[in-house]
Amino acid sequence: MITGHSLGGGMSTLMVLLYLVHPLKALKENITHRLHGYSYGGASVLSAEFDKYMKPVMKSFILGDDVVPRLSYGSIQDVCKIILAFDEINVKIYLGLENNKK
Amino acid sequence: MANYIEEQLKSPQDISSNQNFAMSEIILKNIREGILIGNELALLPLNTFGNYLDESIVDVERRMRQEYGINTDQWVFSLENLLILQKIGQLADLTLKEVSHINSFDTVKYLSAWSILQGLYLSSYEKQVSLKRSQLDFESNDLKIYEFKQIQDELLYFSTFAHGTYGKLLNTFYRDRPEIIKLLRFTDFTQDFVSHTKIEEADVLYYFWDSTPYKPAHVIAREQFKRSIILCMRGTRHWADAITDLDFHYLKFSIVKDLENRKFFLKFHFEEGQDHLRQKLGEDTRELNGEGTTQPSSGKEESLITGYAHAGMLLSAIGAYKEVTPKVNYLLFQNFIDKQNSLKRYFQSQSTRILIL
Repeated sequence: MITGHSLGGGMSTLMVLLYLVHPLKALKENITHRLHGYSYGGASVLSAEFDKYMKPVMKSFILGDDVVPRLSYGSIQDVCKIILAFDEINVKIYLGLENNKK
Repeated sequence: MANYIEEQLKSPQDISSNQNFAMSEIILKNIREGILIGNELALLPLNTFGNYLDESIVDVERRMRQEYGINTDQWVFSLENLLILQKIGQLADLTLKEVSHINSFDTVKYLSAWSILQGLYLSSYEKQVSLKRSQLDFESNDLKIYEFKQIQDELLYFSTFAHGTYGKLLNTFYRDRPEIIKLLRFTDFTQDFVSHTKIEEADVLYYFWDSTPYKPAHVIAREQFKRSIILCMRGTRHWADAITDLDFHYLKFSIVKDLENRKFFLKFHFEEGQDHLRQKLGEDTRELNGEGTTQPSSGKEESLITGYAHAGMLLSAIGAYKEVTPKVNYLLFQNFIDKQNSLKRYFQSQSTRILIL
């Protein structure tokens, strides 16, 4: 059983992945033992491709709008795009290229 | 100062000022233990808690509706969170006044408040789940709900292990500073972990509490009730953990199957500017099996999945994997192969711990 919160949650997700790729010797020899991971508010550490691979052995719990699990390279890029888009609209309004509806 | 903080953490509200003494006892007990049982507290009306507040109920109701959008007729839960936030603010202010004369204070002034927040934040998981479970009890006995309850039970149970690794509040960022240790009570992480998870001290089999960059604190414990070996990774608590967090380069890698040996391994695809990762990680990761053996590549490979990972945490996970795997293998063989002797082995656990350490 591997568990952790925040950084520990992200770490436990990756540890479970590593143990899936290279299983423990003890788990190979005794099939009654099972590997399972619990992540609490874990950091976003893997891309979506690994979803199906991890699903049977990993449970990740996120509380409400917790920022840590939602903060990733991709999500920051999205936020940057949105900010730039708003900025572009404001510049156009300022220059009079677009009508301000208000 | 230290005594004052302890008192505040132990008794967030003044009992004597409350007329409803029985109710206050329940509330204080739950706040101390970090658990709110939904049946007891969640659905009580707001006026039960009237004497807990300095300002009038009407003012609080108005403020909660306007500032937080909370319907106070139904949910007391949010009000309690509000009180906790107020308490954090008071404690943070007091701590700031006391330690403000210390050099390089600017860099650490918010950390004590942050550590309190982390602890309380984790407690709120347990509160919310308890609340939802109490609602489900009244609604249905459907099979799906039963499964959901089982998952919730597991969530609650193992969250205590994730939470326990943080130790008591206020004791971490100042560990190396004797002048602050005098102010803030220093506690032993292992003792805190044991008291929080309610396991025997002998069942803590291995621990590493002093984080370094790319090596967060972790603990291996034996859990007798569910017959598990539990590896708990601690979250961000030390400055070194923050370095691990902030190495957020993405690293491309694949899970590859060696067609000849029928074994799986990770293959990394380093990009420009990732030489430091290449140096730390090494190109060949076949040695990751924890036993130190290396399989020669047959050259016939099939890539199964390719994706990205957080580089700092992946480096940390690989380091922890190499360190922990031989120990976990040893423990699993020792404690679980022969189930008949589990009680006998339980009494031998202290010697097992010495062997592992």
